[in-house]
Amino acid sequence: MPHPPDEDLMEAIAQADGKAFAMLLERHVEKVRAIGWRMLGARADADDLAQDVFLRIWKNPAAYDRKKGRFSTWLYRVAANACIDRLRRRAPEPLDERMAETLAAHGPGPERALMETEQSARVRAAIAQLPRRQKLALVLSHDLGHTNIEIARIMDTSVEAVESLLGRARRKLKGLLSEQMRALVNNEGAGK
Amino acid sequence: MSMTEQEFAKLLDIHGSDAANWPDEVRAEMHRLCFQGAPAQELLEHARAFDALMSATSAPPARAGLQADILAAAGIATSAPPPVARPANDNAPRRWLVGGMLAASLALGIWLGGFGPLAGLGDTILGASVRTASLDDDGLAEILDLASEPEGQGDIL
Repeated sequence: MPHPPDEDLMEAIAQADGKAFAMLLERHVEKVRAIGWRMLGARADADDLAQDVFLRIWKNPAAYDRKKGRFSTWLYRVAANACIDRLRRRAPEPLDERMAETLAAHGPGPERALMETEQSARVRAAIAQLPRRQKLALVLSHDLGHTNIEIARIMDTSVEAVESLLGRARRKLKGLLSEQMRALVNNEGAGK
Repeated sequence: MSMTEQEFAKLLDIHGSDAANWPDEVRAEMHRLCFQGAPAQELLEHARAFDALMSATSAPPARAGLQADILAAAGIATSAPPPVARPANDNAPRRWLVGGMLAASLALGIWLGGFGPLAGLGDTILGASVRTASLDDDGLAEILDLASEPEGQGDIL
């Protein structure tokens, strides 16, 4: 079985099948990291989150019930809750530390890379100002490409609530990042 | 029902700049509005710039070995690289050949030394060796001269 569905893999994991776990890990680790990256704002935190979430799955596969829905929906909910737990436990970091972490993550590079990492840090700082549920709706929509209906399932809310969260998140970020967006629009205009 | 620019801006915030993510019932209206005028196009360009900013700041690559670390922490052995494939006894024929040749050589040596035409040669060579060890430079030069003579060479070999 070359591409078994996630739900079948979970049944195999319940029988302590390490290969099934490795396959599931390979399939979803980057998506869990994407959630961690946007929600927590640091690469190391995203990596730790992925490790934590997948070890929880390995140790307690019975926590997932396939009758209640798709595995991915459940997984992203677990990841989101794990992020929220971590955010509750920690104090906000200053922007300089986030920039330093971004620079470390991308490695030293030329001036252009520095500008990109500065921009990245500003975007991350802006996202950090969003309320948690807005942040989560945004990462699920933008980074993971879920529809609003899927996001509503993951966040256990209505589609209207998701639309409201996304609308407010994007409006706020557009306000905070107006300078960067203007520069991008002008660059594109100049390039035409 | 035609969409206003305000409604368009609101829908851009909800669904993003990619028309593929818009609900079918409003997608056609989005295109019509963008086709119609500059203000809607400007809104769309800004929404695209926002999406581009988001995409440009997506998660950096995971630390090296993250997946292996997770598997190790779960107590799952990752498969080591397989050993180079090789038949179990691929050297056996060669070993037999070498062993056979050595045995034949030994038997020939015993026969030649004990019964063959070269019987007594061992004593000659051994004696020569002992004598050579006790020779001075002049004596050694004499033996070397003898060894280079054609007749003597045939006898020894």
